[in-house]
Amino acid sequence: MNYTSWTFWILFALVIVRYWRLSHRHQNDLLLVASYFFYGFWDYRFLFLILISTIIDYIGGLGVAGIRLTTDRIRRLGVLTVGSAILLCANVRYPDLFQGFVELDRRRILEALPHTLRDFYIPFAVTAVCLTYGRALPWLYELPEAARRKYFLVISMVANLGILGFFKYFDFFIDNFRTLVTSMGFGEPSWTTLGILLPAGVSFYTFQAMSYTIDIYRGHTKPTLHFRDFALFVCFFPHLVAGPIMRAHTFLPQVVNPRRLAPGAFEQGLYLVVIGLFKKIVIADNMAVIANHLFNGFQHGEAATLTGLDVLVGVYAFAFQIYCDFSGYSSIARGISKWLGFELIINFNTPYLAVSPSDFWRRWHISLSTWLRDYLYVSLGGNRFGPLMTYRNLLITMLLGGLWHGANWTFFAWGFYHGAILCAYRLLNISDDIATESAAGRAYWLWRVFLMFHLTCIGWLLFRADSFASVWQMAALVATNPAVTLFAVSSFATIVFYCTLMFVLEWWLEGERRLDRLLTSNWLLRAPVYSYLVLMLVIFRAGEAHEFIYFQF
Amino acid sequence: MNLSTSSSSLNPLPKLALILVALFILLEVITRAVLFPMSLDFGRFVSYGERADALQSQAGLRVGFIGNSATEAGVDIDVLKDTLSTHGVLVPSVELFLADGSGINTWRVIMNHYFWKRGNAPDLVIITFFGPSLDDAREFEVGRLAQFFTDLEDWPELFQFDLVTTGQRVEWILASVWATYAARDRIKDRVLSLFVPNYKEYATALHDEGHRDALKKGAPRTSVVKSHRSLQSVLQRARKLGSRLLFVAYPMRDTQYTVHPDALRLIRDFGADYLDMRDLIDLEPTLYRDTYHLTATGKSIYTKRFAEVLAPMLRTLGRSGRLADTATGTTPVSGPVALPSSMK
Repeated sequence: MNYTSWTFWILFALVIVRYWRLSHRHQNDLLLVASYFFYGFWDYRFLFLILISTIIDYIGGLGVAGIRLTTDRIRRLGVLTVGSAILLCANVRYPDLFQGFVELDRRRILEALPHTLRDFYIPFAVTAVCLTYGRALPWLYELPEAARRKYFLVISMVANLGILGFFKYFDFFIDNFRTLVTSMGFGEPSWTTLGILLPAGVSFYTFQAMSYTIDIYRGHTKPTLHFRDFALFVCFFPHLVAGPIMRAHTFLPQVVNPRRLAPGAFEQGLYLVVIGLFKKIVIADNMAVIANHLFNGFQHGEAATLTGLDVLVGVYAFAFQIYCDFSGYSSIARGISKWLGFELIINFNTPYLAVSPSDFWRRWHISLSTWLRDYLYVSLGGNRFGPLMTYRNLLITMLLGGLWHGANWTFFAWGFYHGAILCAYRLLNISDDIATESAAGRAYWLWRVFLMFHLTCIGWLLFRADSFASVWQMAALVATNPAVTLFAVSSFATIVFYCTLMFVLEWWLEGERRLDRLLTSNWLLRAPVYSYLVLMLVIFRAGEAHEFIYFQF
Repeated sequence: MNLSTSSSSLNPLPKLALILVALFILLEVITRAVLFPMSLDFGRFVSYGERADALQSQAGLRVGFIGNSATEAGVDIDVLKDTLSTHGVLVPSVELFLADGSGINTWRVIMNHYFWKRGNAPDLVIITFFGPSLDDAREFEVGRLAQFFTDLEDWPELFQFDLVTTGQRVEWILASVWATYAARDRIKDRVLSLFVPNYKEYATALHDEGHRDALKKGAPRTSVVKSHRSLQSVLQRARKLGSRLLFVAYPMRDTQYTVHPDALRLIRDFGADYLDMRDLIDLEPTLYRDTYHLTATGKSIYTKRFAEVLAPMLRTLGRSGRLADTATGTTPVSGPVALPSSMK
């Protein structure tokens, strides 16, 4: 269920109507149930992964902080884990079971229940792990402080990265390893990929859960004793599947402490939701039609009639699509969080007005780039060990950042490309400080923005293309065939129609140096902007709704 | 740059809300007073009720054509009447009830709304289809359904057969009471055609390509799970009210399709007629404007051939509105064109 569906908004209205009438504890319980329900709409089986991640990090966080769980609590957590494994992973066919009960059909009920040993593999494995971990916990608690802290941290990291690695990268590595072995002349191995489904948002919630344990380890935050509070911290539905990735020290206190609807929060939330829906439904989904025409054409080998200008316009369309898709999601997430009394961090800050790669990453997917900076780049040594080590660390961070997006060599190349241009700007010592008081200064700023936007577009080409062969074909077309086509002209006009006013608004906000400047403007200025946004939402939404791109990450 | 969105000096919303409401009322007036009369489609839909009543009041055979834009581009009423006349058939009264891009679900509500609910029962209803148009659809142009082909009392049937997702249901309710919302696709097309060069050609190309991509991915936009509840409902009602149904499989350019066996079985079981025009005419690709639509010449050739095939059938169709059972071979077939074997 996503923000562009009516079902979501109807259910959200039911939640919020009840929400502000409840006590703080019950508010959290309602949000927890709602979060699991919204997530379970995609595939209820993957709720088990969230639960596993939650339980491991809950125990891990407390363990790092030196807080022991009582035997009774450990037992209850174990029962919860095994019970969830049976309910969610034992291949119970719930629709059939429900139908069987409705029709009082005994045979149908029995057929819907697990009936082979294979159905119980996961519950058996989970039980074994629970028993082992339960037995090991008293021993871990007795370790010297430094060792105990390290052990709990390592267990948390291994578990989270294990979940992420298995569901996101297992098939990819098997596939590539098989290709490698075959190409080395050892014959084709018989290993097969498992056809693993990717749980929505797995990269987001595992990173968030990991940051909790790391922050406790580093002394930046304190753990919570309330399991349900921590569970809500991990699975809070507005940002569960596509971020922003919140840190424990900023978000956990908001979960644990009572909340209130601040004055103006409703208006701010409404503004963010409308802007977000506009970006997604009007701009991103309409741009998707153009971008898909180009990239699917190359993917299906139907690109014979396309020219370099078509490629250029198609890549521009994708640049606007991915920005508006992702920042639209973040904006809606922030808006509905405000209505619930939460404050999520800003994830995008007019990124296409960046003047350099480092400036771009300060504006694009801020929660991920700061996560990578704080937990990976800094851990690798950052810029403390000279230029060469700095370049190495930048490249490693960006490579892993690219791979975080998905198991594909094109993402890897995208990460490498961004690492390389970060290094290049650093090597050339190109400053981000541009004096824009003079006309020459403004022209230089404009040139830098133009250049950075096109460097970013080259990255998007790598990001969106299905293979390096397609990237090469497209790049060759841009270089050799600038013919003007109907597609290029009409697509360019469509991009201008949908995107211009949005980016004029962003330019103005950049100049005003406040993203919420519009909220405090005179109503004579706000009225036409709001009218435009709502009119576009009603009339100019795309014919076909697309999933948010970042759900797949 | 200050990234905060917290502020203390917010203006109250009422003025802005009032402006938005005023804007939407203005737009609603413009849509109803200007856009509806300007739109060929909408003008046609508005007239369907009167035309169905007029057809019912005609003496002699009454024939209603149901279909989409392919029928419009394929059937020339004047040519049809002339050809029938030259084949010695008493010229029937004919009316077209068409909606672009429609399939059996929309045809069911059109027939329900303009024929059966108003007590109209044409002697013969000719339903021209292609591809999966007889399979239950999952996507609709909800706007015209809400504004023209249904009213609020139709919701139980609509929600059971057609609008099965919450989104579709909410859209139908909104479009029923809000003409601007119902007509938003047309408003969008009109505005974009002012801004985007060659918009119509461009949008059609992208739409067709999106459709092809969806088919390649194995996720056709219609009939994800093949079912034929709408077809069954149409057949049941037609039989009950005494209208004869003729289903015509329409030839597409360079595209072969198979009619779902369940649909064919239903047509046979309910005693309706089925005519596969793909077997009876071989149209050159040059006679098509695109995959579905014929040129003026193609239209004339197709209609002529169709009328030749139809003539013996109409000859047997009495004022009572019943055809002799062609499947059992009791229909007297005469005239220059023998009743084809594909007509069961």
